[in-house]
Amino acid sequence: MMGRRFRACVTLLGLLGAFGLGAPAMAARFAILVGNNEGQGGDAHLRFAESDTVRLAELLTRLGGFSSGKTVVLLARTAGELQSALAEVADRLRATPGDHLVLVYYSGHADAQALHLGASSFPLGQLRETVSALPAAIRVLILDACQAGVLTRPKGGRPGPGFEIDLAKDEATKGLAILAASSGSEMAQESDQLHASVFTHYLEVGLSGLADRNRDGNVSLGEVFDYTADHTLAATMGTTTGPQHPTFRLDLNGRDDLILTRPGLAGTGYGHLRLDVPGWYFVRRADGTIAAETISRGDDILALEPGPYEVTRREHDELDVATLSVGDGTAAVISQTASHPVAFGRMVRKGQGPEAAYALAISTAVRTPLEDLGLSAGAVLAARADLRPVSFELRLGLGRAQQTSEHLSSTTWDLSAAAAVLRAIDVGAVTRHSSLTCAFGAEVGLSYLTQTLDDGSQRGSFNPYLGPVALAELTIGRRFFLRLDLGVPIYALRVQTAATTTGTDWRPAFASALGAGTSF
Amino acid sequence: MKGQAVLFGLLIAGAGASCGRGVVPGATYDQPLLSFSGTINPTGGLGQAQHPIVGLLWTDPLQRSADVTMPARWLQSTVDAAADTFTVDIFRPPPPEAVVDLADPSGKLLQRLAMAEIVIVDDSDGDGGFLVKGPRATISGSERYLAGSANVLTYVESPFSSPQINSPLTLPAQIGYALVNYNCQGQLSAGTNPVNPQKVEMILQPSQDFPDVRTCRASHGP
Repeated sequence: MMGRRFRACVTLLGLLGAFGLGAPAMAARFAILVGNNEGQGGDAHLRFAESDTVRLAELLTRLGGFSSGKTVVLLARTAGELQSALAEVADRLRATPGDHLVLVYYSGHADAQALHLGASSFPLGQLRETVSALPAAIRVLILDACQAGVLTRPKGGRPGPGFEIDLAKDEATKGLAILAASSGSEMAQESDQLHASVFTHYLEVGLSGLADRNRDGNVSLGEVFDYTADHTLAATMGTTTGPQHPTFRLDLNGRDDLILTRPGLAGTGYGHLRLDVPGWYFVRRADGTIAAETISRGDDILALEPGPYEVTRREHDELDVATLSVGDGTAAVISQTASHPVAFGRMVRKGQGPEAAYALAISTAVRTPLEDLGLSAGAVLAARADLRPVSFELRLGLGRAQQTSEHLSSTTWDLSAAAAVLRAIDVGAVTRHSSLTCAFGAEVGLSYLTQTLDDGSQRGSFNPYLGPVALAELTIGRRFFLRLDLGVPIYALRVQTAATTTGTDWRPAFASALGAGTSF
Repeated sequence: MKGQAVLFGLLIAGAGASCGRGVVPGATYDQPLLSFSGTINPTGGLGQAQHPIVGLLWTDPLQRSADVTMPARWLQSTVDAAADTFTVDIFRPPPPEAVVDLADPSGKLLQRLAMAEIVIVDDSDGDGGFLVKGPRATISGSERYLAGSANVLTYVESPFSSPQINSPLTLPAQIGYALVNYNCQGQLSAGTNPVNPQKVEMILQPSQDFPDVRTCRASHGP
């Protein structure tokens, strides 16, 4: 929604060249990026404001034409140091007149009046005036901050009136764009899963190429705002903190299609990941953090820092994982990369698949003797539903035990039905051919024992049981698995205690089963 | 505490939910239910026997069903022909078909019991058992009766509901095995009395085909 409004605002005056990477020397790019994990007294500690800032600076330097000499990164600094940095940039701009671009980024605490740079404050009004006064043709101010928040690691701050950018439409603001991570009194959120602020994460991903809507290899300010706004809203829609709507105010004097990055360019020190197969992608760095998440039609190119990545692609109810390496200046192509299928249950537990996965398995089973009735051998048929937090399994078993002692022989059939609840743990990564899942839980069941003695007499009894169970499943491919069951069922066993009387005794046993199954 | 309460509740519910005739544990009959021993009179009568064994011949006191022999694995016996003594260990209740119902004229069940003659058989084929046929428990095959006891082995599965009612066949209120002596006065029984399990007396069989050694309550299958 916001993106469409943004796009409606733009007018094309063909000034791209003046601010592109290939721009004349007179059009330089300056950036001040400020990150501060600490706020004032009541502000919660932020985890990712400073790391977001460092990563964005690296990305802008590599892909955006912001040279390292003209890029200032301020981490955990005070308001005074920010003021000094702004003044220094202003001096440098005045010294080299031209159609320069200045980008100021802030990630940290704020309230309706000021940025919270640790214990110090930088009034928003002063920030607006200072940035507006910078002697550049275009000034871009990006604020990833919010009012307050507690849940889902929101960026903290004191509750207050809405965080609206009060930007008067006067001459001083010509050529000024302001992007804010949230609107009104919303909270800007950090994500443990992303290891980043939600807004900045999508800003970076968009600048890395996924925002390149027209596939021209460049990401414009309009494109990246649309992308960031849409994805930030989508990612925060289901959070307990509530949806986060990025907002903007801009007056770019027709320079709205300003190119911020050129992810398609070679020689930037980045490599490329070509998402040439349609699907829903998760791209993870080696440390497990999410580098990108996108739904691709099969024509996206993502610029990435060189290094190893795990790429998960989901399409319908299938999930594939590939491990690949992105090299400096090289392109990794999904269709040319070996991938490994991920089992359905693992998909569900990772939250990357359907709500539930189902499995059927058949196993040969043995159980230690109950009351010296002999080792029971038979088969178990299991049907399981894998949900994200737990799995439920129904088990039907049939076993036969034979016992021969000096004075008694008997054959005992055991027909059982049980329900188990399991907590599954996916062990290790998905390898080329297989993956291992362990599960622990408890089962409760009912066993009907029919014993035939050597004199031909028969006796039958219902015997409830319960106990802990463990399960190990080795998945082969996407649908098939081998499984090993272990359990310690404790039976409320009907036992003949005298010649003609029967009582109930608690009797433990050890059960195991080895089998195979399929999931769907 | 809550988890323990739930577990306790499950255990109680589980115990309550179990029902039916319980299994017979495999080790149930590892120990004898009854052991007895005694002497054989007159002495020296078993001198020619090849494999003398003690056997039990279950018989219906009301002569409604055929006689049943105790399976060989269900008891163990030793017969010392030289010393004229024997020992018996019984490990199992009687075969189900040997247990008979005694009912009053209205059909109400009064007692479930079994009754066995104690005999010594020459187990010539060495299989530990013997077979009978016919209305008088005629021994079949190559085995032959050597001796029998005037005492009777009884097994009460379900006693009289009222202890005041004494069975003419068994000792009162007695569940399981018992050795009973019928005080025979000719063909009539003048009552019962218990037998010392270490002093069971066998007497040499007048017939090698039929088991009868007692003048009263000699009942065999129809």
